[in-house]
This record gives sequence, C-alpha cells and structure tokens, in this order.
Amino acid sequence: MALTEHVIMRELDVPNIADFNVYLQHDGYVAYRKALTEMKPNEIVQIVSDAGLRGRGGAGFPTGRKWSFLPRGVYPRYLLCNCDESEPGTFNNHQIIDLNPHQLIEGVALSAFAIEAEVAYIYCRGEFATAVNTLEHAIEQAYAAGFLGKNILGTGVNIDMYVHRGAGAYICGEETALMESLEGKIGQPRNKPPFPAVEGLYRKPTIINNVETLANVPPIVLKGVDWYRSYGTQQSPGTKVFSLSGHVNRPGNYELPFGVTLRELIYSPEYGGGMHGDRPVKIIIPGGASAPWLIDKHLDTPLDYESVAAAGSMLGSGAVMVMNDTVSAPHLAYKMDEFFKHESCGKCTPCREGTHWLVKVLHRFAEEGHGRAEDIPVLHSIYRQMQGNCFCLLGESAVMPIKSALALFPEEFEAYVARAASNGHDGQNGSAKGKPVIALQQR
Amino acid sequence: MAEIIITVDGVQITVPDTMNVVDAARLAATQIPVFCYHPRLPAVGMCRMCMVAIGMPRIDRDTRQPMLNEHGKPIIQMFPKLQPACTTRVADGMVVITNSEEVKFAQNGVLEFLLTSHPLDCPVCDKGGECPLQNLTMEWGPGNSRFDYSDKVHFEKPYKLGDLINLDRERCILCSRCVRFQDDLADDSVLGFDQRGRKWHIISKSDPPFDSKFSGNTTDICPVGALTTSDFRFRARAWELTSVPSLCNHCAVGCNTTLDMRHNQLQRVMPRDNAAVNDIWICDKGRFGHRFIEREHRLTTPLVRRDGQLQPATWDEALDVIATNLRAIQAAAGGAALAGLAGEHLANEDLFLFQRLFREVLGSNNLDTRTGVPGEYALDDVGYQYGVGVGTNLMDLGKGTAVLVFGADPEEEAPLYMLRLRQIVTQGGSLIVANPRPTKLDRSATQTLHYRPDSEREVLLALLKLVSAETKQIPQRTTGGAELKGTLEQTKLDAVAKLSGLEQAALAQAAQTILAAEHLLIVYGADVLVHGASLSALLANLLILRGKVGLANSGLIPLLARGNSRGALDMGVRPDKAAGYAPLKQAGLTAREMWPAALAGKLRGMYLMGSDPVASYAPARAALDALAFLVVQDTTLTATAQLADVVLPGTNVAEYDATYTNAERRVQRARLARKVYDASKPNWEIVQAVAQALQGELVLAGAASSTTVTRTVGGNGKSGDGVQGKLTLTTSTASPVAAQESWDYITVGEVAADIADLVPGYAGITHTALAQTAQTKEWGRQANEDYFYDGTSYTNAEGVGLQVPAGAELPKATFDLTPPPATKVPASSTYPFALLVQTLAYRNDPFLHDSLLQSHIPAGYIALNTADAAQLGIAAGAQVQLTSAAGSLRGTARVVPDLPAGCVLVPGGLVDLPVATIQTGALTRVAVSSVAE
Amino acid sequence: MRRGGEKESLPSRRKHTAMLKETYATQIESLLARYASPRSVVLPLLYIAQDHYGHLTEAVINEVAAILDLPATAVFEVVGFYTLYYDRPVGRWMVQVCDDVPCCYCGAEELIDALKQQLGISEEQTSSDGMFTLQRVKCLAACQRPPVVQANLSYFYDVTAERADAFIRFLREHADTPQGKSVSGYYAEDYEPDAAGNFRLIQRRLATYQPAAASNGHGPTEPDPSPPAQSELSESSPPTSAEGS
Ligand SMILES: Cc1cc2nc3c(=O)[nH]c(=O)nc-3n(C[C@H](O)[C@H](O)[C@H](O)COP(=O)(O)O)c2cc1C
Ligand code: SF4
Ligand code: FES
Repeated sequence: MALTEHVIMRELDVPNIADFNVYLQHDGYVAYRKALTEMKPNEIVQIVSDAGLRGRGGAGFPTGRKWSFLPRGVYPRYLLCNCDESEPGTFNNHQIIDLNPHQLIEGVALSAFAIEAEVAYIYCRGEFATAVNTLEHAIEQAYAAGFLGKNILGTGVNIDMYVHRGAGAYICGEETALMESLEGKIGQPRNKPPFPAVEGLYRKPTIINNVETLANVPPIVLKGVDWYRSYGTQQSPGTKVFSLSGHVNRPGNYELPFGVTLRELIYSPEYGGGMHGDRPVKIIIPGGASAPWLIDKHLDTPLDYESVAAAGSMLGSGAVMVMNDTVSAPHLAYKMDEFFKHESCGKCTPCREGTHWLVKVLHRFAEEGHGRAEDIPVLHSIYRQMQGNCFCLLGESAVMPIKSALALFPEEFEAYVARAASNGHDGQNGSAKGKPVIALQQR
Repeated sequence: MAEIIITVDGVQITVPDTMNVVDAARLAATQIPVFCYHPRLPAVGMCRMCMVAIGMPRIDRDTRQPMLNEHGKPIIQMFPKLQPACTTRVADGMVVITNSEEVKFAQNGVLEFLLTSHPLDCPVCDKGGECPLQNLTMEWGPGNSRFDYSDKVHFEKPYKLGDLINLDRERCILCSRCVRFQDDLADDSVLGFDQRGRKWHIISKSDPPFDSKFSGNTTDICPVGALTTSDFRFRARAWELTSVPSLCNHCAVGCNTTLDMRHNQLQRVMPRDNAAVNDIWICDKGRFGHRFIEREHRLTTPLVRRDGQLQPATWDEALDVIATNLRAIQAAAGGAALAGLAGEHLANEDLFLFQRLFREVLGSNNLDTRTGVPGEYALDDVGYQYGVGVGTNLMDLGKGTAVLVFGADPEEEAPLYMLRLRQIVTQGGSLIVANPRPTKLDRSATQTLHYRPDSEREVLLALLKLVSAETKQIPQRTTGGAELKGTLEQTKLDAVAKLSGLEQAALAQAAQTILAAEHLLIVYGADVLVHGASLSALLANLLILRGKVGLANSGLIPLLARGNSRGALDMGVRPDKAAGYAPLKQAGLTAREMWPAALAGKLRGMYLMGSDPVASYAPARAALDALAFLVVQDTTLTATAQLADVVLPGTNVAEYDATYTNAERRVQRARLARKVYDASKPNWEIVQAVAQALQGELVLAGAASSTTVTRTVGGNGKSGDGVQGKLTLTTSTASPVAAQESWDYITVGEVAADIADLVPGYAGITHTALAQTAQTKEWGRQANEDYFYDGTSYTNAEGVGLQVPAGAELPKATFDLTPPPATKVPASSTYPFALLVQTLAYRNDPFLHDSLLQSHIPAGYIALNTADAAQLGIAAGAQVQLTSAAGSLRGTARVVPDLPAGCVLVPGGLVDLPVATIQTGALTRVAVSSVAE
Repeated sequence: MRRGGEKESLPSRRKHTAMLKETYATQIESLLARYASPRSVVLPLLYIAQDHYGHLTEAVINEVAAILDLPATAVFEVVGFYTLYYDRPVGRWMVQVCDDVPCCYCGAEELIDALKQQLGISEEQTSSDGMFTLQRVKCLAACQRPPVVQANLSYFYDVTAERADAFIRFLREHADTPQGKSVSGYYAEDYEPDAAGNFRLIQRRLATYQPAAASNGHGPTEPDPSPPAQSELSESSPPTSAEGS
C-alpha cells in the first residue's frame, strides 16, 4: 500500500521541504495564491467537503461540514489550529512542524481564508518549544513573502497568524479548554452548547482543527477532490499519518491511505518492521490513550474510522501503540489512568475523583503486585460511575483503559488476587511483594 | 418566553421555555439533586449530581412533525447518555426521567465520589444541620463506600481567607459557587483555584485576601462547610437558632435580614429573601456589622444628673425631671426655645411620635435629623416627589431599562445596589455611571462619564438640553417649562464640554440612552445629596421630560445616609415640613441654626434621640453646654449623652418591633428579636412616656401647682445660667394639644396605625399588611428548596414590605421643571483645589463598633492626581496639608492616576482624618501644600 | 519565540532588579497587539517573567497581574494549573523524563533510576549545586524514540539508562548556553545521541530567512540580530534519517 507520493509527509518526497525556498519550488503556496486570487471562500469549503476530509484530532468529524456551521455574517471569526498534541502515543503533529512546517502554515492560511477569519492562532502545547520556534520562524518567512498580513497579494484579504504556546496541560487540547487557555485562563472545558462555531474564542464564531487536518487543505485545493479521494476509503478518504509506537522494531510516523490494516502497519518491513524480538502482539491501542484496546485477533482490522469502530475501538488520533506479551494488562491500565489522573482538570466530580480512585486501586495490582478480591467489583463500579457522566471527553476516555483491561484480561486481575492470597497477603496495607513483570525493550 | 409542556417522571407540566430542567422539575414537585447549580448563578454543570435521563420526541425529517407510535403518542428518543439537568434547557415535548436505576446509580456515584474526599467532620462543622451535602446524602447517598477512607484530601485546616471568612479546603467539593458569585455577581474576582485535578483548591490572592464587600454571601451559597464566617465560627449549631426577621439599617437599601438568636443573644445575621430589595444577598456590613446590638456598656437604666454627676434613676424620676424642665422652658420662652434631633436609623414609629411630641405637646418646629456638620446631606424632598413608582422591582429590569448613576458610588454608599444595578446590566439594561472620579461600578457600566468637579449642574443642563430637543410634547400637569427653556437656551454644549471635560459625543450618547429607555432609573448619591435640590431637581427634570414620573420601574433612587432616612423625612422630623411633607406656616430651626441659637440663649432645651452631634461635629459641644436642659436618649453613653441632664436608655433595631422606610420608599418591618436590657425601653415608648409626663405636668399645672425649676447641673465648666420662671399653664394655648388624648398607644402597631391614618401615602401600611409575603419570585417558591440551598438565605415568610407612593403619584401632583438656582463655590487662587469627600462603607461609625469590620476601616489619606502631585512636589506617602477657609488638616498623600486634576479626595467619617473640620459647605475649596518632614 | 535582543539581557535567575514592563516593553506591546483581550497575554508573559526571574514568586505573579491589569488571583490560578510554570526555585536544567506509555515500557523507568543515582536526588528535587531538577512528566509526543527527556524543553531522544551519563555530561557542559539559561525553553533545540553515544544537535533546515525582508511591520517578533544555532546550519545538512521513517 506504499504511497508513491505523500500528502503530508512530503519531506520523504522532497528533501529539505522545510526550507522555505524548497517549499516554494515544490508547489508551495500555489493553492493559496490560486484561492485568494481566483476563488471564493465558500468554494474552498465546498472542495474540502467534497474531498471528504475528516478531522484528524480524534473525532474524525467532516471538516467541511464543521466549517459550514459558522453563523452567516457574524464577524470577526477565528481559526484555531490545535497543536496541543498531548495524547500518549500521538506524535505526528510534532513531526509535521519539524519537517514540513510551511505546508501547515499554508493550510492554516488557506483555511482562514475559507472561513473568512482574519486571525488564526496555532495553539502549541508548551513543551513544543522547539516547534514553536520553527513555526514562528516559518511564519515570519510567510509574512516576509507577503502571504500573511494586510491586503495579501493585493487581494484585500487580511490574515494574521500567531503561535500561542500552552504551558503543560493535556486538557487544553479539548477545543473549548483550548479557547479558555488562549483567553489567558485555566484550561477547563466550557459547556456546549454554544458550540465554538457559534461562540468560541472571545465569544466569537470559531473553527478549530487539528494540525494534520489543516495540512491536508493545500494539497486538496491544489490537486482536487478526485485525486484526494483516490486514497483511502469511501467514508475515510485520503491518507493518515499513523504514529506507531511501542514494542515494534521501527516505531515512527507512517503516512498511509486509510484502510491499511494493523497487520501491515505493524509487520511490513517498510513500516513497523515486526514486533521486537518477534514476541507476540498482546495489546494494540489504535487511536491514542482514549481508544479502547484491541488484541491480536484484530490485526486484520483496516485502519479507517468505520472499521476500527466496528472492531470496538476508535481510530482517534491515529496513534497506534503496540504492546507485547511482557506487558501486564493491569499495569497498562494503571499507567494510562495515571496519565488521565495527572491531566484531569478538576472541574467535574466523576473525572476528578474517579481517576484518582482508579489509580489508587490499580496501584495495588500494578505496582504492589497484589489486589483484593473486592477491588475488582470496585474497579468495575468506578468506571461505571464515570462513564457517561463526565463533563468532557477526558474523563470519558479515562474509562477506556480500565474497562478494556477488565473486559479483555479479567484473569490477570484475578491472578493478582490469587497471588496475594497465596502469599498470605491480606491485601490491606502491606508492602509490595515484587513488581509485576514489565518488559524492558532492548534498543 | 413561551410556555411549553414537558413530562417529568410521567407528570406533565407547563413551564416557561427559558427554564432549565432542574427548576422545571421542581415545579412538578420532583427533586433533582444539585450541588454546583444555584438558581442565582449561571449553571455550569460541573458537579454532575443532577444527571437525569432526557428524551425528545422523534421528528419526522420530511414533515418536521413529531412521529407518532401506534397509540398516537409521540415516539420519544432518549439521549444515549444521561444529561446534566442544570445546564439543559427545557424544550417542548421533552421527557425527563429522574428515578430510573441508571439515574440513581449515577447520582449515587457522584455523591460517593464527593464523600470519599470529604472529611465528614460534621460534628465540628458550622454548616452541620443546614448542609446540602448532608441533606442530599440522606436522600441520594450510597449507604456506605467501598473506598479506602485513608485517602481523603488533606489540607491545613481552617485557613483564613481574610479576617472574615475561613476556608476549610478539605470540606470543599469544588462546585465553584463562591468563585462564580465573586466573578459574576459581585465583580470582585478575588477567589480562584490553585492546582488542578484532585489537588484543585480555592485560593484568594487579593490584597488584603478576599477583598470584597460581599464575601459573606459565599458562606451562604457554599453547599458544604468549606466557607464559614469568623463571626459565627463555633458560636452555635444551626438547629439551636431562632430566626427573627429583621432589617439592616446601615444604609438606605434596607436589606431584609434574619437575626439568628440563641439564649437572647445574637449569633449571626443572615439575608432574608426579598426580590425587590436585596434578593437573597446582604453585604458584609449587614452581616458582620451588627455586633452593636449587644454592645458592652449598654445603658440599662435612666440617668439623671445629680450634683453634677449622671446617676441611675427610676423612670418616674427621670420623666419627672424632663417634664418639669421642658415645661419650664416652654413656659418661659415658648416652644421655640426647645429643639429635637433624632437619628435616621430609628423607626418610623419613634420618629412619628417624636415630631408629634415637639409639634403638638411642646409647640416647636425645631426638629432635624442632621447635626449641622458642613457637607452633610440636604433634606431630600425631590427623591420623594419623583422617586421610583409603586411596583418597582429591580429584579425584573433588564433590556429596555436605562440606569443613570450620578454623583454616587453605590459600592460604598449602598453596597447592595451595586449588585442590583449589575444585574440589570446582565439582563440587558444600559448603565451610565457619571462621577467626577472612577468607581467600581464603572466596570459594569455601558457608558462612563467622568466630569470635572463642580460642573455637575452644567452637565445635567446639557443632558436636559439634548433630551428636550427630542421631546415633542411636555407632559401634562407640568409647570416651569418656560423657565427651563430659558435656562437651556443659555446652555451651550461646547461650553459644557469644555467646562466638564466630557466630549459632546459622550453627552449625546448618554442622552440617546436616556431617550431610548422604556424604564428610566436615576440613582444619585453623596455628591448630589450634599447639594440638595439644586442638582436633584435637574435629575428629576430628565424624568419629567421623558414622561417617566410616577411609574413603576422609573424614577429617582437617592442613596440616603441610613436605613430610615426616608422614613425620617416622611415622618416630618425636620424643621420645615410636617409629616407627609405638609408645608408649615413657620419653619423651625435647622440643626445648623440650632447651635448658634443655643449659644445665643435663644434655644434653651433639647431632646436628642439616637443623635450624637458631639461625635460628628465638635462645635456642637459648646452649644449643648450652653443649654439649660438636655435630654439624650440612646443605647450607650455617647459623647453627647455625657453632657445630658437626663439620659434615657433606648433600644436598637433588634429590641422592638417597628417599621422603616428605604430609599425606594418601601416600608418594611423588623421584629423583636431580643429582650431589652434591664430598664431600657423601646424608643417610641419612651417618647410616649415623655409626652404623657408632660401632659401630666400640664394637668398638674392646670391644677395650679406651679414649680420653679432651676438648672442646677452644670459644674465642670458647663454654663449653668439656668432657667427660672413660673409655670402657670392654665390653658393649652402654648401648644396645639389637639392630639392629647391619643398619647395612649398600647402597642407599636397602634402607632403604625396612626401613621397610616395621618401620614399621606402611608394609608394601609399597617403591621398586619406588612407581614404579608408576595408570592412571585420569592425564594421559597419551589418544592423543598431548603434541601438544596440550605443555609443560603431565609425564605421570607414574614413580609416583603409595601411601597409608599411617590409624591408624583398622588392624584393632583404637578411636576415642576423650574431649574433651581445655581449654587457655586468658585475656585480661588487661595483655595485652588476642589475637595471631594468620599463616603466609605467602612468608616468610624458607632454601629460598626465591636464588629470584625473595625479592622477594615482604612487609615485616612489625601489622594491627589499624579500630575498635581508632581507639580506640588508631593510623593506618595508624604505628609500634606489641606487648608480651607474653615481650617486645616494634615494627612498622608496617596498619588493616583485616575483622579481628575484639580481636586483632592479624602475619605469622610474617619477619626484619624476628620475632614469635616475643614469643610465649608456642600463644596469646599482647599489649598494643598506639602509638609516638611 | 526567538526574542533576539533579549538574549544578552537574559542572564537568568536575576533578582528583582528590573521591572518586566520596562525591560520587555516592546515585546509586551507586540503580544498585546496579537489578541482581542489583554488577558490572553498572561501565558506568554509568565514565560518571560519566569526566564527573567528564574521562577515565579508571589511578587512576580503580582507584577504580571499588574501589567495586564488583572486580578492577582486570576494569574495565580494560571500558574497553579499549568505544569510548565514553576512557583518554586528550580535547577538550571529542568529535566523532565517521560514516564508514560509507551516510554515506560521502553526504558523510562530504568532511565529515571539511573538519573536519580547520578544526581543523588529523587523526583521533584533539585541537586545541591542547583544544576538539575528532576521531574516525571507525561507523554512528550516523541514516542518513536523512547525514552524521551526534555531539559529546559530541549528534546533529547533515545536517552536509555546507559546514556544517562552522557546526557548529564552534556547538560553540565552546556549550562551556560542560552538553552541552559532559559527554563521556559525560548532557545530549545532537539538532540539525539550519535554513534558514540554523545548527544548532538539534530539539524533541520529552515534557513534562508532574510531579516531585511521581514521588516514589513508585522508584530510578533523582533528581527533577530544573532540568529541561534538552528539557522546557522550548513545548507546541505539533511534531516536526520530517524526523524522520518
Ligand atoms: C481531552 C481532549 C484532548 C484533546 N487533545 C487534542 C489535541 O491535542 N489535538 C487535537 O487536534 N485535538 C485534540 N482533541 C480534539 C479536539 O477537541 C477537537 O475535536 C479537534 O481539535 C478538532 O479538530 P479536527 O476536527 O481537525 O479533528 C482533544 C479532545 C479532548 C477531549
Ligand atoms: S472530565 Fe471533568 S475533570 Fe475531567 S478534564 Fe473533563 S471537565 Fe475536567
Ligand atoms: S452539574 Fe448540575 S448541579 Fe452540578
């Protein structure tokens, strides 16, 4: 399924495309120039709709449709590019900025034009200090070349673009929390409705899209709907940059058309190159920490939104984490929920308390190596108390690891209980009887 | 707002479509538990306690009509997840299920989560017994928890958020009600959260911490015992308290309160719901500033001066001395030799009888509530004549309402009005704030006008000119139109702009707002009140031109000094008008005129009730010393009382049942909350006893018993020239004693009934009528409110008050447009600066004694504009001297950028900087100089 | 953001000598011009303040609040909520090791143990010489090259336990570089081990930026008089192979 040309990871086709001149020599800003000089904003919205571009930030929501929710005639509008990329296992936005930043900037500018926003902010997670530097540098080049600013290319169009740096909070990737953060507040999600398209940043109509989503826009506008739809599936057209990590031989970002199977991604020598030490696949998390787990029997699932959903998980951010048989399910659930606990903003009770208690109880299994029989129903209960009751999707996501672990590997929890019992452990407050086995990958 | 039908647990009800599901369900007597939701705050949906199942009729895509099942009923499609009821708005056909297993599991789950972090220290928690968390746990809680209790949230226990409020972070359930109250309602964003996740906790980083005049309200709306007051801490358990309806008398808002009593002692003050007055809030002065009720050193018995000393006496002795002496003076020099001063905090019943005593028994019109200190408020008749109409309810105002705040700082002068005016803006109204200096209300204003001091008159004339230009037809029953026209013709907008420093466009914008308003409210305060009618009449003219007089929700609201300032004016405790603003043939002396009259020997005897002129106006002392006879009735031995010949022990608001009239002329009733101290008596009873004693004297006199009185008191420098004379009263010609027979009130209600009969406008305002509670928009309107909002506020079951019609509402009222003459105090080269005196909420006020607020009274300062300070070479913190024609004063300089040039701002009412000593009148001009260290 | 002129004036850990408002007047101005509300400048300004003073004391937070005319509590909230603001003294290098999935299964725990040993401190502590503060953090979005560490927000890839030594050595040697001085990461760069196990800069190409052409008045950054390392790269250096796939 290898691509002969890349839509996003064009650095593989064109060396040094991060160089502004190189980018310009290779169709850089051609789509943008064409849009500004020859097209109307809503034509671009239409093209993006027709291309079937779906948001890469997690939900896979059709981008053109999202853009069409903007209330007519209400200005100013804002475009926000979501580069908070903090979901464990997800690292493709990071690489797009490192290696192909101008395509992102062109995409943001082009999309701002399409939705008639005069200001666009790229919200980068605070840890991306290097990426912020890269972007600011590249934006300056775009300004210098006259692609940004006032009266761009003499068309009367104004677009300003700024990078806004977060400061360490995964929740700020949630669109409304991101807006709060951009407004200088603590990053906690807002109630919806009103939805951002109606009332977003500064209570003005706002569109928010992921980095990869927006980087898709220039090639779509340049090469057309049919070209774009020649990749991927009917429902999930185009390509996706999959972030492959874990116990595979070649972790990394791989741009492939939607519909490639997990097996191909993991085992193809061009991509994952197989499992480390040829150990078996035990757990696959196909869409970032928030996605329900899959197991080896799902290896032939095609990676598109519908198929992964049919397999009981979600494609999410396209972060594929693969764990081999050295990883214990309770431990993986523990680590994942530790992440969610760390990032819970505190606003709503089920997430704030639930993640705390999940980690607390899981710690007994995963780190102390023993559990109590009564802990298992408690774990079931905690996630049920959270599920469907949290304010935002962070809390809902925190349910997935423990729910998956309990559903797929109940015997591992029971084994810990049994072991604790056979060690004469009362499971109350004794010390750890040795850590569970955790694989250390040799590099 | 449309009415729609929803179904809650199978019960169909009709509700307004603006409601959320929580409120709507409660109308159907179904309780959905809540923590973060509070009906007075925007819903946020944080706590997730209110999760319910919600469905909507399935709509046919083609017909846009609900699809029906085989029984012809709409097919209901349930949302896949439970929904928070607090943030979900009702919609037509909505189906709400609150009692399914799924819902119970979710609500149970949230409660269990909350309890796992909560310390469960109910036995030592002030909130115990009125705690929504306790209440809801009983109803919705899990029986027990399966979690380790060893992992509660731990924080250092009580943590002071300022000196009024304690925070127990362990108890906090992070509902953010307090933070949202401070941000959204009070506009003091001094509370916030630190950290995140389970470490999230409340902080206050203002300087001083929790710097807000409304902080106490957060302790009410806190659904657990996380926020409690230092004032009530560990004083009593909620269930031991007896709650007595009362009123706050500190300012003209007249907030409804309850006094929570135990063992005849005040434990705390809580707000009592009154939508038209204070909603469910009170300010910190109302909450913490009532320790005066149980002050130490209360007077417990009458005192009579014997051998130069005030000594305990019986009531009979005291009244006898009073009657004898007052009669003697009256006989010798006539009623005009007698005068009375009464405090504006006293009840209508007290004041009504007081003026009757003077007018009917003693034959004197020398009455006042003021003390004659320069710069005090003039008698505000305009505020009565053109006051807001009967039926005004600030709660209802929003879109279509314009509020003009002129020369007022509501946050300081009448704090609760600040919340009410902000609410009007929140609800879509316009707010113009016009002052010489910035105030906090500016932040909420839709337009601010900062005019130069002493250009008020011109600014108002300019507004009138702009408004009258758009006024086609002057309303009927109006006089003075020609005079106004003449004055407006001479008013030149460009000249006003130049004088006032306001842009002409700004004036035009304000005029447009006024012209566009359906309801027009004009709030004025200290800066206008000191000038009397000369400014307020111009404000009234705006209303008259707009035809907004005598109407509900339009009119003037003067921020008078005290809780019953309006009542005192209504009752006629003033030299120039009888009760109900009836004109007098011959006016008496004003307070300011009394002092020279006393020094000149023309005034011989005074009776002061709840008035302490010596404290506020030092020169009064010599005049009081010069009197032949002085009676002081008060609750403590004030500086003035120490000079008296007889001291009578009176009562405060908690100790008798009586009525008070607020700035909007709403008459409200406070109840007897505690037994009086020993021999002290309700103030009105004392006045009646004095009257009766005088009548007895009269009878005695009529029986030809004559008494010679000599003022024997006087030692220690008192000029005891005494009054000598024969009392040979045989007829009643000396005093109009027409009402003699009526000095036989047995209950205070009878006095109120007399007021209702005799004072125009008070008809029908009896104690019984005042005890009635209107049903609309009151706090306790919904099922089992206390369960959820326990400890928030008291449901008002004891009366929300009745409004007295404004003068303009009377049938034959005419509206006078004649502009009053200008009263200007021009600047001179000797005194180039205008002195602005700021009224502070927290000042040296005897009523704040013994309260926690004492430490909130600032040290005095003299504020100067940055440029002026630079020019004078004065640095912040330096000593400066102010000199006026009346004297000079030294204080510490503050340099502020936003004060207009050419003026100095000094807080009033502070003992360390008695600015009154240099005031010369309504506007004082001063010279500023730096003092060499 | 590269704040050119500031570089010299950034000997970090300065005490309260200068006022932010004056020192960074142009920057604050240009930041304010970016947003519809001055409150949006809180996060960027806190970064500036943090680098200027070393960490965010109460006085500093109040200073930021005053500059933006915000209630102090609002700024304290922000400092408390976000993990990259330090309200306590931290070492010259803030060493943040990702211990999340997948790093934790690829050597992160072993690395943390090694670092603790090396530095003689445990998590959240600062070494006695004030050079290092060690912290565990969650996923750093670089999972293809675990274990991943950030030091003053410069990325270090493939930091296995065996490379802990080289890593610490590198940081010590580079303590006085702009990277070492900016705990907020203004000059952050990315590093990887070479064949010998020593850390070296990952060279990416962005170059050909002409400052003269940029002076078209657009706000956010000032022309950079001394472009940092990244733009001094030789024209021919290719992107590192490991970056792609
Ligand atoms: C807790 C949470 C974290 C998220 N983090 C990110 C993120 O880092 N990047 C991102 O693009 N979207 C993230 N999202 C999804 C965004 O809310 C939003 O849906 C997305 O940016 C929309 O862009 P798209 O339509 O292009 O996918 C997150 C959502 C949640 C609930
Ligand atoms: S689920 Fe709740 S606590 Fe968790 S991040 Fe969302 S709002 Fe915050
Ligand atoms: S979420 Fe509805 S009451 Fe808290």
